[in-house]
Amino acid sequence: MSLNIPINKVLLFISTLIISSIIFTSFFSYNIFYYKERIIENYDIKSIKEIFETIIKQLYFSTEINYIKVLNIGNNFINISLYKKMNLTIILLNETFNFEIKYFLIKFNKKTNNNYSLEQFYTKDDEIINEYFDWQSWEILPKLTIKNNFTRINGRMNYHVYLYFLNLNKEIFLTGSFELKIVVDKVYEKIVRAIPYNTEIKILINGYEIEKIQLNRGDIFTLYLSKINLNFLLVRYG
Amino acid sequence: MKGSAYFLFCILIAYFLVGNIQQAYQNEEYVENGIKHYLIFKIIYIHFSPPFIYIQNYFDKGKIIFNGIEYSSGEQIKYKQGRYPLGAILSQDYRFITWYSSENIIIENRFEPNTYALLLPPSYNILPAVSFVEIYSEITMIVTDNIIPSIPNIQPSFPIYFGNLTKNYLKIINKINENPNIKFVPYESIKINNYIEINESKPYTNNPTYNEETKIFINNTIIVNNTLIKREETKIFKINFLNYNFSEQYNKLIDVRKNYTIVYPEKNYGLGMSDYLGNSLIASITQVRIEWSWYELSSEGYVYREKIKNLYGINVTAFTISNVLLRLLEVSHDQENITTYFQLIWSDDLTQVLFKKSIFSLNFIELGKSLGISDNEGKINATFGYKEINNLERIAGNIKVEIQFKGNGTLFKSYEFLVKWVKLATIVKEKSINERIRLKIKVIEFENFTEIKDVLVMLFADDKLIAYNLTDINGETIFNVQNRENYKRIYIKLSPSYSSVILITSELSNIIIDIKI
Repeated sequence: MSLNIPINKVLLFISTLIISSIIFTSFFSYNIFYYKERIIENYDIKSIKEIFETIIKQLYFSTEINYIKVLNIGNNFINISLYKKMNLTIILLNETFNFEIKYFLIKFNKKTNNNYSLEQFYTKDDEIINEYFDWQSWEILPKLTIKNNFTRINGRMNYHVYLYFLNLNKEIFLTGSFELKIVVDKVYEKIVRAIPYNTEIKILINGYEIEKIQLNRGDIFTLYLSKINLNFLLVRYG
Repeated sequence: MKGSAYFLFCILIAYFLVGNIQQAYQNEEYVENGIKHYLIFKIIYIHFSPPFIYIQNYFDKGKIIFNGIEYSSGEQIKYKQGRYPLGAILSQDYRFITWYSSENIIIENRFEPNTYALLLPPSYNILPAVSFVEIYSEITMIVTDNIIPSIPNIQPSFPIYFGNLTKNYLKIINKINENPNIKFVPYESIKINNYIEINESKPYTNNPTYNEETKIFINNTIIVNNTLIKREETKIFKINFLNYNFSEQYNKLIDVRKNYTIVYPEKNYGLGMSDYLGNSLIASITQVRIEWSWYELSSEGYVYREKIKNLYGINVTAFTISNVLLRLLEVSHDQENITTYFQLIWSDDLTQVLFKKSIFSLNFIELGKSLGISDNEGKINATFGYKEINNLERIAGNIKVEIQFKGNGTLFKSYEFLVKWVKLATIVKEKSINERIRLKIKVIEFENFTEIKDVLVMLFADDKLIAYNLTDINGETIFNVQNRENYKRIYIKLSPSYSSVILITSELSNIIIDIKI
């Protein structure tokens, strides 16, 4: 009999642990997507724009699925549409690589496009979106992002250049109440070249040189290309 | 009664032993039954002058100290039993090798110049004779030059034989080498076979004889210059000298037509090559003494007769102790593995070794494993994965390889060999992708930009091989293929063919030529 008391206590403790873990797991699994979802319950288009800004900035660096739930934006509207196709050209020694960037705009209550200068289509720092702001309307333009660094490994200079750009798969117009699912599909490519003689690597947009890197014989050049395809999916609309 | 008999027997044995010892140590001139005994001192000088060996029996540039008195070669004294200090006097130009003595003289340490000689009662080889007899015992000192001459090139005239013995043939049998009598690795275990052939006719006599006897004494000496070792349990000694004595006796006069094989080592020790690298000589000196003795009936009655035939044969054989080196012949590749083809070569003349197969393997030190088994031409193939190579983030490096006996035994004086690996790089010299894909590709070692020929360059489009070429002597190749489909991804893969280094393909060589994203 003296043995039964501690066994009962142990069993009670284990049962408590199991039950509490089941409750926690069910609670967590139920709410995990809910926590990610951003719910906007007012007409404040400025708040909506800020949320879009945050999501777009995150897209460059993560592959998470994002949700936006807008209960009612009243008479406001959001238009996500293609803006301009531009040619990204990379000149590597005797080779030329050409890519097309389909720039798109996220427009809030804005019907016409703003004109951006070439410098506004790319960035070398953390300003990865371009914003046009006035009190009546707003515009967000995701930029081509260029980052570079170098490392010296075993006496060799290794230059790394990272190019990120967003690509809109389908235009969308949003108004009233909606729940939006933003799905990201990233395509990576890595181009590596051994540098046999002193040269310059050039990056151009529509023929204009936006970056030039001096390389020496024996260096290694690596270009990381990341095309981020966006899909804005309407989950519910009403 | 029985107990008393045993006691008496023991007393008798003890008396006999004590009597003998007392006799052995008494310092008296040994004269008995009309036989006079003398002790002769000899100094034998052996001079190695490749490809010849000279032996001088009466060497006058050294002295033997016996019982505190100096004696020159050839001097003799009356034989007195006892234990005497024995020493050598030599100038710095000469080096003591060993003592050699008659059977009735025991040298306490034959290989030390300063030692003791124990002169025991002479053994009687003949019966007391009517005529007066003198018997000589010998103490011989064998010396050589202090500086062993180097032997730059062994002439193919070896082995050399001279002497009046029918045959004295020396053969060094090695356990791992299939190229006998030529080359050995340091500390390689060996066996020396000395074949002796005697062909001598017995003395002819017309008269009646009785008490006939034939005795054959064989003394065989192997002389080397510190190039052999003797293994006694765990101890190793460098030796200059090996000696073997043998005798047999017949109670009649016989023709001595015999073949003897003297085998070194004997059971109580092992024999091997030393770490003395280079060319060397091994000499086998065989002395055979045949004694025919009989009593022959003459006008004076039966008279003691004897005929003694002294035979000798010197065989000099050259051999080389050499290290084994490794040469990388070529390297072949497949998708995951590298196969290296090595040849074991001798360090002295870089010729291929002919070991028995399965003797050696290779220890890839950084890979932490042994690979490959040698064949009987000294070839070893070893296969390992690309991923096993360390420090692949570098452009070039080395893999350390060590030769070892199969089963991890270390080769004495083994070197670490470095097998070079280097990364390949593909340079696009010309590129045009329209209706046709036109490419001029150059393949180089990225470390020093050396062009690599005979590299298989494969052109893929959307995971489909559309063309392939080998690089020419400039490391270049040209593709000109139709662009049938709107390919999304065109890339190049290299497959190096045979080369003298390990060529590593990487993202520097397997490159993307064109993509659509």
